[in-house]
Amino acid sequence: MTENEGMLPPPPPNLPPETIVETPGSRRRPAAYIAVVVGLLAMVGGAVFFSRSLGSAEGGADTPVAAVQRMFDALADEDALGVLETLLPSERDQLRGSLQDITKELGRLGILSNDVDLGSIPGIELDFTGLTFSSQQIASGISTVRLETGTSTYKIDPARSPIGDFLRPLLGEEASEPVQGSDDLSDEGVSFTTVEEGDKWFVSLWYSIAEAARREVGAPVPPFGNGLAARGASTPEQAVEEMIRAGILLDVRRMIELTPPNEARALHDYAPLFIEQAVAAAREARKHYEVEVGKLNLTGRVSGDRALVKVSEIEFNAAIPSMGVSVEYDGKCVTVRGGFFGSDEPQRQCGEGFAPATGLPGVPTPELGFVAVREGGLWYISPTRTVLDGLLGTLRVLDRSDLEMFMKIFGGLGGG
Amino acid sequence: MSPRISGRAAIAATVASSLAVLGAALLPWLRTGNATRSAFGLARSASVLGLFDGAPRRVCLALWYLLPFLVAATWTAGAARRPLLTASLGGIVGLTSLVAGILVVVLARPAPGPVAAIGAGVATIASAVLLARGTMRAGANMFIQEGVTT
Repeated sequence: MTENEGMLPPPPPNLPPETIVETPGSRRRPAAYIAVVVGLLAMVGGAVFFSRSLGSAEGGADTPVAAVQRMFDALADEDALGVLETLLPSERDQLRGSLQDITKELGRLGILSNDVDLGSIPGIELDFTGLTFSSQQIASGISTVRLETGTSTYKIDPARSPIGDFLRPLLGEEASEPVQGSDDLSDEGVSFTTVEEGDKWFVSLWYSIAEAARREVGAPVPPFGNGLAARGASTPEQAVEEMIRAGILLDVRRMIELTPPNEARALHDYAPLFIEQAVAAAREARKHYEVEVGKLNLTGRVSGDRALVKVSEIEFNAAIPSMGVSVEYDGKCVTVRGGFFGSDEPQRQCGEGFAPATGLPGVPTPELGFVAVREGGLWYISPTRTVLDGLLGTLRVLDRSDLEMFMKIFGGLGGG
Repeated sequence: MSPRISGRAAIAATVASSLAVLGAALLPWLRTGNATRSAFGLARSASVLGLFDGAPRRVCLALWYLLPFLVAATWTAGAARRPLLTASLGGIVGLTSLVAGILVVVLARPAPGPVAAIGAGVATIASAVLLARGTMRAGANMFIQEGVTT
């Protein structure tokens, strides 16, 4: 049955009988058959395109060198999206969103121009030529790619750059002159560490930093995949409480354990190289201070696999006996004792939160907290997101007059 | 205009505007720095950056990647003189293009690709609707005669 026969009403009775004798297509021109065949072939092509496109949803490159080459290509194109695509997905996720929000706030404050777009930053031209790379496998799925030869040329025109109207006058005349030049990258020792995920290779910023540090001190290759195991908490609040208490006691091991296994994979992998020294240093440091947390109440707001946990109530005593200084906070007032401010009288300051204690009247208190993330059903503290979220929270409560006040205070201090 | 000619013209218009949708998808949709991305490159970047998390968004992404297949299917249905199938596929192609174009124009900077996609999407939907209506109204006359006279 043809589509017409199945879907359309029967022909009207006055139709001449000879017109329905032959079925559609019985005398179709060869061109029509060719068109159908072409269409069928195109459908096969479309199906292949569909399956390949869905399979490439994670990005990455086929080899370590290709991953780094793609990053340099994106840099040369000033293609921020392209650079992000080459990064390890867990690291990319840390930056996604935050950078754009922070840029927007910097634009609002006049530090950057208010129409700045990370996808197209004017005034900066960058190019790389003659790049050659060598790759060295560190471990299975981890390779360092070293830039062997190449030249970079750059041109920065501050007049066209997205510097905001608050910052521009502070930079002076010299900073408004265009800068251009070229560098031979051959002797710069530029290298990036790449990580294989799935069957694709990605550039990892954290592994690159860790690997560069390891090489610098001549440490052995760590046992990748068998480093310090992550141990999360069952709730975001519990994770934050454990992190705060570990921080107070300088329990470095517990602090690392509480970082997310995916996001802080490099930290977990490289931890065995420094953890014993860090623990010993922390033990020594603990001899010089005393801290006691009396009350600690936390409130968390969970959104999917992410939570923002704020300290709603805290009471603590801290002291450095060797300096004769102590700080006491009872949830409302902070009392500082010792000859710290040129007087032996205790200094007491009260108010909501810590803002009044800063001595900067009118500066609102930002809504700061710890960002916890859920991985494998357990909650961990994300250091990068906590820092970026804190920066964003701080920027959000500031306005132009706050910056001008900071300038008066710090400009005045600088001027003598 | 005879029903036969209008039927063929409607099929041709639906197929041609579907091809225009595919052409529009290959135009620049987003420029970042000196790099330009087609609609598929943009979809891939957005997917890589995790903007297609969640089932509904993944379905939208899959539908977008399916666009070349759907356009080819529209062509094939048109070549095989299947007016209702051509109209249905053309309608899906046009609607997908229209929604994607509007989303990118609203959420990102205007670029030639999404603007062209909106135009081609509207044209595809319009020709698909005309084709479907013509097929329904003319009934078998228009297309059965097509088979006899060609």
